[in-house]
Amino acid sequence: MKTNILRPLFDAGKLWQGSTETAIEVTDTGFPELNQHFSGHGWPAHMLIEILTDDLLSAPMQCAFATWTRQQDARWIALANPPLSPCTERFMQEGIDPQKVDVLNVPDDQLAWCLEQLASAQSIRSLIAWEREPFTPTQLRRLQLACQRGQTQLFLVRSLKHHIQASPAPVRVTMQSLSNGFEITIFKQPGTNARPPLVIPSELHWITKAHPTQRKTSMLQETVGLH
Amino acid sequence: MVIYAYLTFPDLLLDAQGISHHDECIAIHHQGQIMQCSDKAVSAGVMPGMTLSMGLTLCPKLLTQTYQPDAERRLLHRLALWAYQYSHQVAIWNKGLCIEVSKSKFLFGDLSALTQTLKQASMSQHFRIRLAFGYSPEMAALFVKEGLRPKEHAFEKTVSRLSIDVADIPAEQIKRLKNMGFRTIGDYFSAPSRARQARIHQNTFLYFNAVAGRHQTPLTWFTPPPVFHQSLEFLRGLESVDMLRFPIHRLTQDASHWLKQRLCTTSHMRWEITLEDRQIEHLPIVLNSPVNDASALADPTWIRLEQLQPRSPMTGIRLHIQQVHQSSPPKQDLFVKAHDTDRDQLIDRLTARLGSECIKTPCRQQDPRPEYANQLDTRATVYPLPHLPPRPIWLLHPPEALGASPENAGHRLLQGPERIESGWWDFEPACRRYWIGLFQQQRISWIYQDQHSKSWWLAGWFT
Repeated sequence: MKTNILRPLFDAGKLWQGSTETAIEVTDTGFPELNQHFSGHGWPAHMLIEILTDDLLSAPMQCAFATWTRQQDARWIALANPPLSPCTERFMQEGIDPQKVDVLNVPDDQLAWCLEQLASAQSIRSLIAWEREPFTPTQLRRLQLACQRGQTQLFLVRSLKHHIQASPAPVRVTMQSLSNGFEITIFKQPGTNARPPLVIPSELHWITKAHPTQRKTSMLQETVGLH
Repeated sequence: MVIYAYLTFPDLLLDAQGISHHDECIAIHHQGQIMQCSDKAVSAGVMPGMTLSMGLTLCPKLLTQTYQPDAERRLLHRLALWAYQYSHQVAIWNKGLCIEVSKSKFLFGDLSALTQTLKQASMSQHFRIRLAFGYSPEMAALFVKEGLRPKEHAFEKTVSRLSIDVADIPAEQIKRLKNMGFRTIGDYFSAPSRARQARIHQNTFLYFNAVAGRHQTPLTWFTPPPVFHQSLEFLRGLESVDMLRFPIHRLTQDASHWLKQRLCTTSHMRWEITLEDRQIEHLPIVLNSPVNDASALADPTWIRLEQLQPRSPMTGIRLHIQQVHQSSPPKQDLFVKAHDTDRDQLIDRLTARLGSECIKTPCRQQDPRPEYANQLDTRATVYPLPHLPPRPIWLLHPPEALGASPENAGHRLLQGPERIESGWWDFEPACRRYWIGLFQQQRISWIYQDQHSKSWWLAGWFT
């Protein structure tokens, strides 16, 4: 009887049990082996996803790019308080329309309000934000509710030191940079238990061969001696 | 026949003060005489027509306000603007509103349905109305005065039964008519018309003809003003910005009605908040796109106002809208998604609180120099991308100096160079060779050597 009452919540993906198949909407992570580590086979599409890392520049943005290029629609994506200026030409090379990208630089004390507005807006598909001042559990809970309300995916990049603290975010992962890629550990997600660490290798094949636009006379082997 | 609705507002003078009078003993007075008082004052024994001193004797806590004809006029204009949504012929007449409803009654069903609509709408606007219908404004006004609301087929019969005493003419004229033997309006019309015209003052004759619907008094029809200019004043100064929430809601509702009636939208609002020390706080608000929805007008206003810290209590608020744009009706597209609609409101909310520079879009300019080609701007300008080698995710503005050798700074050259020679036209020439490097065996960097100074710079990061 109780299960029947809760069934709509289970079906809507708002409630889950420890080891059940969830019916939540997901986005392809862009890494097949990482998809297998998620109970829904991808990043949850309407949830707050905590990325706990000390590598602010590399791994979180690689993950965001990988899922954004595979899941595009008419809605916008956003970057809030990025650590550096994003490169427009890279967005275009990844097939992302820069006109559908918002970049926000907001004061630290306004970031939670700003993210809540963005996450609850139906015109935003996915956003990534870099936390500088730690959010309170209440703020994190409000962000999760805003994600559900606006059907928005929010990657929140936080310091690795928050790993040991409880959080209302339904998805929590840690990321660590390695020489050959980065290591990701999903230690909280709906519908299943924590998963062992997974190494995502860097895709550096394009570095090993010269770009056609580059002149042959300027290859590394020929010019390195000049320096 | 033409049918008119006549609306009076029992709390007109109190409402004109822009104050909540439901929980207060308040009286409006003019030349020492009370003109109108709140329900609570009435329950304390204060009555309209009483002298002010008598009122204060009966109710020592009575708050008194001087009658303000300008405030009354402004409120009647606001109410006319509200009534304009029910008929295009609305007139401010006899301290009330006269609405021509011959066609509107078909739109709303019948007169009783129209009555319900008007009453419900007035309740939602928080003002009381009394109304009746008639073949002329005078007939409807007489019904309102007597508290009658006859059906259309009974208008003439009801008028003929009314006592001659209720006529809105000077008392000596009433006395004269009674001396002639007229007790009811029906008695008056039973006498031959020529005899009445010969014996009765012309104004009285015309008035009774108007009451019977046989004469039409010329009315000046209301037209919505070309600019929106409305204010609310507060009896006591408001000390908290939170207390402005209701007045802002009311003003934006009215502004929304005004814009919709004119089939217009606006993107520029100007708020003025009057402080107790006579200073005025100006608050211009520019919206991302023209709107006419009340919530779209109120949300950015409220966010901006939350940041306001008034130096003294606020005694009034005013909204000006001058710049309007003609709006086109929304396209009925089956495939329009909900997320297409809230984008502009999101931008308005963010810029209202964080400033117009907080949100930017990546742009690409037609310039070979990466720092000029890749910019963040409030307006999206994206030129097509030529065939370029891979670009990094992040750019450093300005680039970071690496010294004379990249290896010494921890960068091992992997691929390159990409030559960029440009900028001769704007006196900022760039002659560089870009390389992709590996930084400390972990991260992929984008570095370049300036060919003039031979120094190395970190321009961005791939990973």
